[in-house]
This record gives sequence, structure tokens and C-alpha cells, in this order.
Amino acid sequence: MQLVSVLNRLAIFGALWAVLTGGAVDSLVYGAVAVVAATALSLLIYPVAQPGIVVWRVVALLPRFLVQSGLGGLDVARRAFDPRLPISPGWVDIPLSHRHDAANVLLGGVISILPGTLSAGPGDGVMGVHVLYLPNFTPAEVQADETRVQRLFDSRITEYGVARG
Amino acid sequence: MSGTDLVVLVLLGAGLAFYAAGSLGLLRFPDTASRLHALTKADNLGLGLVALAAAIYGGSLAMAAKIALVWLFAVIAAGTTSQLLARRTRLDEPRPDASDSAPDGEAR
Repeated sequence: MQLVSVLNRLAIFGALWAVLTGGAVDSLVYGAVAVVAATALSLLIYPVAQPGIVVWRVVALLPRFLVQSGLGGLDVARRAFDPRLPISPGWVDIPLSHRHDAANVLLGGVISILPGTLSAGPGDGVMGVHVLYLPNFTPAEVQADETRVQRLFDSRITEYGVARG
Repeated sequence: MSGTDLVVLVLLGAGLAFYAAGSLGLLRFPDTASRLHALTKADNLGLGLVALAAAIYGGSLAMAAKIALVWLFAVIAAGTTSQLLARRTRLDEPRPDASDSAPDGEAR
């Protein structure tokens, strides 16, 4: 199982190298060193014992993410161009149902791309969220995205859940 | 001008418009966190459109894949740095009330 995770990472970094260099066969040696080094670094930063991300689930979520990021750009552009400057910004703390830092930082990145919200990172069981237009904001949307991000991980993520109440 | 050139031009123009929106937001929005909204979201969309134009102009799948990766890395970097900046901003702000919706700024 662990070996599979390591091989997966080698394959992913190898694919990244191949795409970025356009498959430069003459510099394969440097590529091999870089791929092994990148895999070693990733194992150091995020050991395989941690909940893994399931790649096909990421692919399944990608269309929604792309559409939402487009809407996010449209929304903020519209407000920036509007002479009345229709914004009403403020901070909100959203309770988090999980304590897995890496998953919550990923959630923060997703929230920051979505229309109207910007994450200030997780801390103390809550996600600090800056909202550009408070009258339109509902915490349920952020919590739905939390569920979506948690589902990108394998079942080990459930060990980090906390009971709400 | 071919149909492809036209699509590339339209995508480039739209991408530049979103970059302009990001810069306008940076100038017009009243506080640091709101300005980050403009920079992360509008610029992300602007880059996406310019990248799409470049990928179509490049005309090969290998080129398109490389450009898609560049866009992906830029989005990851923007999502991460904006969180760090927003966190710092919030720590620096006086916080009488977390639910306070009226920032003191020159919001016209």
C-alpha cells in the first residue's frame, strides 16, 4: 500500500517533468534526479501515512471548480467596474468539522477562488473567511465546500473529524 | 484573419479586461482583504483566458498541456499566498467585533 503511494508520486512528478520539458529525452538524467528529489521532498512534507487524495475524485470536481472560479472572477470584476462600488466587506468565522490541517488549507485555497469569499486560513477549529458582500453570504455554502474537499481524500480523513454540537 | 486568430484575439482581449478589473479593484476597494479578492479572482480568470488563447495559438497538445500546468501552478500559488496575506491582514487589523460589516475606509 505504502509502496503504491510512493510509486504514484513518482509517476505524477515524472509526468509533470515530461510535460514541462516537452519530453526532453536528452536530459533524462537530470529529469530522473529532479523527479526522485521531488518525490523525496513530498514524502518528507506529506508522509504516505497521511490521508491520501484520490485523483479521480479531483478530476470529477474539476469542472465545478473551473466554472466557480470563472464566476468568482466575473463577480469581482463587475464590482470593481461598477461606479457605485457595491461591496460590503467583513470577516466571518466558519466552524470546521475536521482538524486535518492540509485538507483545511486546501479548502482555504478553494474558498479563495469561489465568488465573494477569501480564506485567511484555518485555526482553532474555525476558518477565517473574508466576505466581499456580506448580505449575499451564507455559511452553508462554505460548509458544503468543506464536505466536497473532505471527499477528495480517502477514508483515513474521517479520523480527523470532530462531532458538531 | 482565420477563425482561429479571431478566437485567440477575443480570448486575449477578455483576459486583459479581467486583468484590468483586478488592477481597478486594487485601486478602488477600501481595505487590504477586499483588494486581495480582486487580485486573486479577477487575475486568475484573466490568466486562464490568456493561457487558453496561448494554448490555441500554439496549436499542439503538448503546448496546451504545458500551458495548462503553468495556469494550475499559478492558481495554487495565488490560493496559498492570498491565504497567508489575508491571515496577516486580519492579525494586524483592530478587531472590535468579528461580525462587524462596516469597515472604516473611504468606500465613497
